[in-house]
Amino acid sequence: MTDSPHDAAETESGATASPERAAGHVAELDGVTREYRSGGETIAALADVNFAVDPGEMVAVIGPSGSGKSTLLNVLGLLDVPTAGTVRLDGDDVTDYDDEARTMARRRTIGFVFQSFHLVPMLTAVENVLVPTMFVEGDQRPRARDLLERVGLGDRLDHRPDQLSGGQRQRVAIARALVNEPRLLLADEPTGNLDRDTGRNILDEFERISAEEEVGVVAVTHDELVTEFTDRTVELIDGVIQ
Amino acid sequence: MIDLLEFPALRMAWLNLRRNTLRTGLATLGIVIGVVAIAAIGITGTALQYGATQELGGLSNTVTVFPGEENADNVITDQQVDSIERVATGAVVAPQRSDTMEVASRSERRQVNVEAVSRPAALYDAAEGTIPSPMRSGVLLNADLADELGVELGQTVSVGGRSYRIIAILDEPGGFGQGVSVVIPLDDIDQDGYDQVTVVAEDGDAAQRLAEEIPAEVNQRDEVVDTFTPADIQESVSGFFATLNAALLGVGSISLVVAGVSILNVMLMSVIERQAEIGVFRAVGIRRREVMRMVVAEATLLGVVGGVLGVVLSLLIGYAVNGLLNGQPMLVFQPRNLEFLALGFGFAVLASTLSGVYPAWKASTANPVEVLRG
Repeated sequence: MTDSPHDAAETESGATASPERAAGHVAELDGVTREYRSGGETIAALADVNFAVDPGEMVAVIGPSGSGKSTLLNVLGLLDVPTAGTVRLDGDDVTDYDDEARTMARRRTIGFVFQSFHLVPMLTAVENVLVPTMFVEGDQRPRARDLLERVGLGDRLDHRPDQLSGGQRQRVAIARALVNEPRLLLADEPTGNLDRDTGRNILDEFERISAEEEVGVVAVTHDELVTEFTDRTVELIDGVIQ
Repeated sequence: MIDLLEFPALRMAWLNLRRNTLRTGLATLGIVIGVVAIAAIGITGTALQYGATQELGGLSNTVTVFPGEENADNVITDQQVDSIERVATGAVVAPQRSDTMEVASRSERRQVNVEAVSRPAALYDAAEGTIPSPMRSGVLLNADLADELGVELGQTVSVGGRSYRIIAILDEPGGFGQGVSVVIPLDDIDQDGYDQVTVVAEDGDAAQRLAEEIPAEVNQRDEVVDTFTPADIQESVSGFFATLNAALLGVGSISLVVAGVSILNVMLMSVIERQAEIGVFRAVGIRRREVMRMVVAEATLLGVVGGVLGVVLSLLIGYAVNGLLNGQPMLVFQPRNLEFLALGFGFAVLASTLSGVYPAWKASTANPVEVLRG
């Protein structure tokens, strides 16, 4: 991992991003329950969960399959709505937001990194990074290039996903998650499809972002490796935080 | 080529269409066929109609008035000519007499039908010389007859035993019903009344109107005059082609609707295949309406590409057809054909765009949660 040549760019962007941000939780779940109906039975994927992330904090959520990790991430990411409880994003109660408002909140404050990257195959690295901003006024191209340079892909700007390795693709995905200057970065098994060394590099990246950009990072994972990098680890079993 | 940030929906649409070129090609082919069905058939119809109209000659603005069934003397009287003139204000009214006479030059003689007209200039065109109006002396000869008799402009022939100087050679249109060989001044055929009256109206519509108004005015009790106008034929020819075109346009429209359905099918499949990707779009903050815009743009783009190809193909076909039927390939660019092309293109874009609406709505409902689970 080569991080030294990009220091100048990082500090510059970090300096403009952080100062006016208020202290307090980036995202907060307050007594959140999420139930699903399945064949007449009601299953609680999350049961009265209290959870919060602070700016600059990196949290790992671990637990066996079906423990509600993904549901936690979906509710935090405003992709899913709780059956009961309150969701706050940057201090705002967003529990009752409609689809449009949740989409706009995601656009403004949340970045996503997925296990299988989910890049758009026909778009170049820069264009993939620009996807979240493509319907937003203003040219984010310099920022997209800058972000790719910072994740070490300065020489791959115009490559398409099929010309990149798994680790490189995940780094494009991370740059994409950061293009909207999010306050909250949500990662679902970010190292799940990567070998151990590449996984380590990606986690380094998360750690750096979290610290330098004052971004709250929540990573849902099976991978023990992830917990080595996080500030805090939360274990979820049967929808309950242990 | 298309910038992602300036035209995001268009850029994504373009890239998505290029993803599966075979599928895109087939969907486009449907649209091309639909456009050709409308435009090329319309153009061919115009070409056929143009040809048929040319055959009818340039006299579709004339009305011929002749004695009707209940006309005892079988002539049109001066009084009736006055009535005709009253009705046909602004039109040239040319009473005519005709008789079969012997026309002779020094070496040849022929029995031909001779027309006597006071104002032949309104009815005939001269190839050589000029036709005076009114004509009080001299003779007008058809070019063919002049050849047969071996005479030229300025020479003398005898018509019915009288000597005439040839003051013009007629440029005969050659259309049917117009076979005039010899024209002499009206009074040189000595009879009461006239065999027919030709009224030259402003245009075909006026001719058709006069063809009805003249009998209405003149035939107070009995049917003493009847009328004929080539405009009637022209109108029935036009009517026939209008019907034919409407039927063919109907067929063309159906084929575009079918093409639209196939686009609907293709788009729906492609949207379902791309559900994961669309889910990611939704997750990273792209709104439902923006997703819809992308998919509708894709469908519209299919219509535009198919429409352009269809228009080009239709122009080529029209060029060839006009060349073959009328010998004037450039006639393909007449305004009426441009209307057909615009109609085909417009319908193609409309049908494709509408076909994209449902798939777009379907796409916009993609649930990002499903993607994260994957």
